[in-house]
Amino acid sequence: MDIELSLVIPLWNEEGNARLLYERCRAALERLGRTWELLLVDDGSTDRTWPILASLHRLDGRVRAIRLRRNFGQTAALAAGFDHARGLYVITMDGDLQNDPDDIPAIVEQMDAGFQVVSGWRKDRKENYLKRRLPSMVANRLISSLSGVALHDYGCTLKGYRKDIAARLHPYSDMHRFLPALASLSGARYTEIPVKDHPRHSGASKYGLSRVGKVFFDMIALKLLLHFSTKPRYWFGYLAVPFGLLGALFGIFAAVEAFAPPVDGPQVVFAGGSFLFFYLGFYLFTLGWMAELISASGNFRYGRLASGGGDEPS
Amino acid sequence: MTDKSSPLKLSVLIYLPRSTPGLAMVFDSVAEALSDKEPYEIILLDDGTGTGRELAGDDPGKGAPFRVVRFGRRFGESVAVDAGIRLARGDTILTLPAVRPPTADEVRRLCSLGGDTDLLIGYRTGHWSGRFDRLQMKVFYGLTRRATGTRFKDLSSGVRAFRREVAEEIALYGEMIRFLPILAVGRGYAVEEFPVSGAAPPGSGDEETARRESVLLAPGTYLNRLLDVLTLFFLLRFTRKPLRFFGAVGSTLLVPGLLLDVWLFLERIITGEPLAGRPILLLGILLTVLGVQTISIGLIGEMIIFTHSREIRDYSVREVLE
Repeated sequence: MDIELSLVIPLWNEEGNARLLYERCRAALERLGRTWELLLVDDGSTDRTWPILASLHRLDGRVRAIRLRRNFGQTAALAAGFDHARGLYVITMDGDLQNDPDDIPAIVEQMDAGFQVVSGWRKDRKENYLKRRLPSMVANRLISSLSGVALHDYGCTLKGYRKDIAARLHPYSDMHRFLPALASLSGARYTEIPVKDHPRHSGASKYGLSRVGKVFFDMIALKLLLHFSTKPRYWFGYLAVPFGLLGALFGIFAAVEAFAPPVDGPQVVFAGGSFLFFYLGFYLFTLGWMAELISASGNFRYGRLASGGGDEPS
Repeated sequence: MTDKSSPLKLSVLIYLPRSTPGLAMVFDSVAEALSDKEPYEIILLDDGTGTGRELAGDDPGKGAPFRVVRFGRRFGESVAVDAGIRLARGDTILTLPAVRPPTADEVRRLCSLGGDTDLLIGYRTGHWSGRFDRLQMKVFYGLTRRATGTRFKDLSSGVRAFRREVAEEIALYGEMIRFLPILAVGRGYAVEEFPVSGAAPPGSGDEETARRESVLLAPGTYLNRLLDVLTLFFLLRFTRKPLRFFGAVGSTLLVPGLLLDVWLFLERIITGEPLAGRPILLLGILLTVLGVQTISIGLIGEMIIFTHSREIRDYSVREVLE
């Protein structure tokens, strides 16, 4: 019999949480009355997390444990979980018990209703306002307006993906925040549900403010990937036009200066500016072709998913 | 002789860049260290010397399966070892240099690979070359350690042992075999170093290397090494997120450039100072152009990575309990 639910949980140095996490997940999953598996991904822990996961696996055959070679980060750990998951629904959750396993039934319910991506929304967050909540509020707004995917909380790890969409997502780097947005590329139907947010049960938090700069560039990349991956010639073309115009403008000035006496040199500056701007316009224009080549030779599948009721789980 | 299909424990790759009496000494060391241990095979990587053909009849492996990979011209150690690994049947792979042959003890030490170690490399000690040569190497490896955050003393001894999966996960192109330990650490493998005697033993044909005093390498070599280090720095940190690197570099060019342009423009409006007489305008524009160019390269990089994201495996699995 096929497995219906795969719960993927990345853990990094969570020796204090792992057992409790398992107990609570098992309780929540058993109430649902479906077949399930629990994928615990040890993301290079240096404490006793792995032996604990191994003992959980011996205790309960539905627990599968994956151990990564070093700490690769949450996105990579989730990718490992996606690649090993067998369930029809793949649900991801934090390993530090800030998410509540009791929210899983609500996610499953939405997925039964036909949504391919269900995202958790921590409506009532328990963390430091200035250090965590304010930056993530700004980031969420930005991601939402850049991606055109209307969700409130991208950072929440508690999410559900249907198997077909999970197989199309190949998370790398720090992409886990953008997964619903990337899923929308394939036409996934998504929704969000409010979930509970708890303070950490045990151990220290592993995030800080330092991510802001990285997230900024990641978001610019996201914008490009979401809206122009299939037709980058437009994007680079749009960029090229203003520089071409500036080049023309400077060129005109240079020409006017050249013919207007006295000729004492200032036109050289304008001519130089004109060359530089023209050069940049031409460069961006040709880079657009290069980008077309890349996008044509890649193997990302943009193909739409069968929407609505077509391939619903029965 | 072992059956072709049965898995071997060890594959010994001997890299031969030029004809040298040291080759015979490697065979002796290997036979002495391994003959009473698990089955092994020897693959000679004949990098364009033609020596291998003459050898094949003499049973140089002393009973162990022996094969020669002959290259029509010199391809370098990375390519040779890569080809050797494809042919090798062992779970553990040893690479040994024919120039400066290793001792039997060193080979034994390499065979101890196991447990928590995935890769073992030798670093040369003693007077393996002239003072100036060693100083050059020290500087290069110091730079490499800085750029990569690792702590390897020597990457060019050619004495290595690693588990097959390490080589399968890391692409060995160009000169990458040299940096295998660093790339392996990046994928989470456990890498250990051990000392090997640096000086070539008498009769190995390389004794004069140790006495070589000051040898300046070709200028291109220095440039190549510098580029190698920069590439490693980039590969280890930004391969998956090129825009983080190019975006940061590009912004530090673009922002001052734009500020300069805006300042000149405002001054033109307020004080009437003609723009055409201000050559610094060119610097402003140049910075702007460079900035846009650098950032757009980062965007192209993002596209390359994203459109190939199916092939990317951003993690390396040590163990799965099903």
